[in-house]
Amino acid sequence: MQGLARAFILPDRGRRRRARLAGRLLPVVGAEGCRNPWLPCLQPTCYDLGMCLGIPGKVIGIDGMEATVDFFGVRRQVRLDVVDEPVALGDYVLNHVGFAIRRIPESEVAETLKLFEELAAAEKEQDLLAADLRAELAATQERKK
Amino acid sequence: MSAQTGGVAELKFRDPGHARELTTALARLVQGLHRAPVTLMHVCGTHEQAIARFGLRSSLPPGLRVIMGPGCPVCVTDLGEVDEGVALALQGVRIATYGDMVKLPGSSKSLADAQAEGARVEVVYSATQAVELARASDEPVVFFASGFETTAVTTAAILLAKPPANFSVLSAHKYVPPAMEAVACLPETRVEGFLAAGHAAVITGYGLFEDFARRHHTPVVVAGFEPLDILAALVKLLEMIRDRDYGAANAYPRCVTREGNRHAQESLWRVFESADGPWRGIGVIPNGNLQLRKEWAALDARRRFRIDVSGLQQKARSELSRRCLCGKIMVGLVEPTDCPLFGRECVPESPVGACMVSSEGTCKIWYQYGGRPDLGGGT
Repeated sequence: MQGLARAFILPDRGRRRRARLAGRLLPVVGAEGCRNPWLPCLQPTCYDLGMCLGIPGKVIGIDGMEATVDFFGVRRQVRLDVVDEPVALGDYVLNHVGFAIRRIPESEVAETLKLFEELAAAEKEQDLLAADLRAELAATQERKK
Repeated sequence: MSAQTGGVAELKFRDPGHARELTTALARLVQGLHRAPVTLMHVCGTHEQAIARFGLRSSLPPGLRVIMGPGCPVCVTDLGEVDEGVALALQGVRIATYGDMVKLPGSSKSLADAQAEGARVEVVYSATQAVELARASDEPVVFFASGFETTAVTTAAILLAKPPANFSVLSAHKYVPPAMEAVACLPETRVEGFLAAGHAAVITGYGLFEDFARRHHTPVVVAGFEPLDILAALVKLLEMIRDRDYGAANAYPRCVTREGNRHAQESLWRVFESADGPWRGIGVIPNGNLQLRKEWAALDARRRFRIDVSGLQQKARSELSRRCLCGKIMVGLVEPTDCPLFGRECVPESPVGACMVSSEGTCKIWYQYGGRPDLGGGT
């Protein structure tokens, strides 16, 4: 599963290379300088996000119809007009172009993971190679340092 | 990384072991269908970004094609709609719009061209910023609003929140379900299942697709945006095809429910109504456009201003744009690499077609990441 391993581990390297080929580092999700290269961020360089991308963040302040939301370390103002449930401090909301479109209960994140486990359970007898892949992931990160 | 649940979840979502299990499941399911290739369509630029960025196509089984349909709201914004924006800008009206819209070519000019001629075009990240621009001055500000239903809901929200009198909206909002209908009805289409966009479904709910799936014998699965979200949704979709289960399913339960966000749906249909309208490169989609209802005429730029686009429309299409395959790419009939202009005459810096303009356009995504990257070992 070389292909799969590399698909999941090296996209960042490939993207940066292509970006350099294009003459500049493109302002895409996980652009250089982001705290977490895997996650979308809201720094100005990352504004070139698709319009249907939604980003989860934690509500750290509420003032009427406006909330201050922490997106993995970046704070932004988010409108609360669209979300259909009362939002409280500490809740997670999904942001879409400056509007919270859904309150995400923490339990649902775990539920989604469970769904994946169920979907995958039928194929468990297959050799997973997961350990090898993780080791390769770790090694890749080591080399990057 | 702070101790957020997102952090923990994120690690698991990137778990190569899970990915391996899911791709094995995909391979078995495709084999079990005894016909190849099986074509599945997604209708969201963010899905295409995730698929391309993580090189998912290189880990799909050979008999499975995942193609992008009309999932880029900027790309399907019609020439005529851009012309209206450009005409207003050239008439001296201040235009606020999303970043991707600025370079989008109209019949003869883009908003960027208008800007170069002295028109005032401001890029906003959110509809609220457009309202703030209007609040900060007395002159008319027109918000040239694009996007699918998820974005239209935010435009509806600012209109319902009583914007200032000098603010109005030029709506290029589109509604995805009718476009899926149009693709399913194309005689050339061989799409056997749809991945619906997760965040549109946050608003509309996945129940909306049940009727569509039954009528077209095409199951629909709502998918999230993590690589594993997408793989899990593809597995679910193939299972439904195998079981002839023509319904709608939810593979994104942490954000999507059957009913969706009722409050947002109410605001959306209070402000907008669906209308037949042209989608660029595809044609007129019945009920595919979202236009402001009559009650909102005072805030509708089309009713408020006399928009004269005649000067922009006279020019014949250029030789280059005649060779552009965006329309066929957007309904999934050909891939960007089939286009003679892709990566040659048509690049993100000087796009010929709309698909190379937006960060959600199939061509721009393939140009940046490679649609079928050679990652070794894949197909």
